[in-house]
Amino acid sequence: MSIIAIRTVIIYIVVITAMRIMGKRQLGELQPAELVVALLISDLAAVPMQENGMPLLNGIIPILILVALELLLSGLMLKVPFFQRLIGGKSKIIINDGNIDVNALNGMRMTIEDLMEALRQQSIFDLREVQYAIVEPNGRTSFLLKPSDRPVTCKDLDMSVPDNGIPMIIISDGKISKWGLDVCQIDEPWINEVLTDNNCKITDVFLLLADRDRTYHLIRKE
Amino acid sequence: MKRIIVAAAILIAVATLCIVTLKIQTNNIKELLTITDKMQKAYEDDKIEYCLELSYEFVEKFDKKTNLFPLFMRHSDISKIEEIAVSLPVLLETDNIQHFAPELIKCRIMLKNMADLESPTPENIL
Repeated sequence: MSIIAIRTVIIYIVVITAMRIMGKRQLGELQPAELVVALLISDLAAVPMQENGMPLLNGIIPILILVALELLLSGLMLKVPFFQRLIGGKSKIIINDGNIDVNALNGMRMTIEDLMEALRQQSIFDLREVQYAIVEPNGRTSFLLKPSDRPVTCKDLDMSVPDNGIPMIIISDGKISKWGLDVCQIDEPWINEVLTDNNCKITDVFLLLADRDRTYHLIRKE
Repeated sequence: MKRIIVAAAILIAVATLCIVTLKIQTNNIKELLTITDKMQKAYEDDKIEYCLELSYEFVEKFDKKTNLFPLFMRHSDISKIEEIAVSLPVLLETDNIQHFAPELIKCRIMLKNMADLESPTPENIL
């Protein structure tokens, strides 16, 4: 029993390390090749975990080779566009200037219902609003609405809006986030000022959000 | 570029590990097979005492030489041969000599198979 427990810990560490080496892309939107690698790794990891009689290396070595091949392949895909098309596939237009390309849909074995589902997932309920729809290599569909149906932007209205940057977490559950301070270019004296203004201690703060303009939102612990 | 270097490093490490384990396995099995050859010769020459001595040496060496094998071979494959290896001196000591030769041949074949199983031949790969 203890052997299984130790083997599980080792395999867990190897798989986590493998996923970290492969990078964030692997954890987000999977390309076809990446999906294959992720599935294979999970399967390879499970077998030596369950079978005591199988050497751990029989599971670890294939995982390492898959990681190395995936890294090499992604490197090649980055440098040689041909590999990108060959392994990752390429985007396909299924609605071109408002017209549905039935051949493209058939080529991808995609039905009109699938297309409508993808539209609804993007909060688009009327097909007539779509000017372009593109199926990406990861299987997602991107849409561009017709100019008349696009949301109005400040640029359309000729308005200027202040650029406050991104609101960041400055204090979370009583702890200061260094990263938030760096991104918003905020220093600790400013935090002390905010805490004094709100008559509270740092340990009383559940959440403090702030942006570059030092506009903040403070939530106390209950 | 960094990732390609990491990938190359992993592949080189794995290749080295494969070569080292293959080398260890081949050399150790070769040594064990030499002892079985000697045992066979002694048995055929009716030198039972010497054969018994060799069989004990074989058991001892099998233990030493295969202590790294579980790292890269199925444990059940090793224990099957170990069972036969341990029985060899017992067969000689308990006057079951008629069973000794077939068991020794079985042991030899299994050892050879063990060596062949890991070698990267097209048959094994496919």
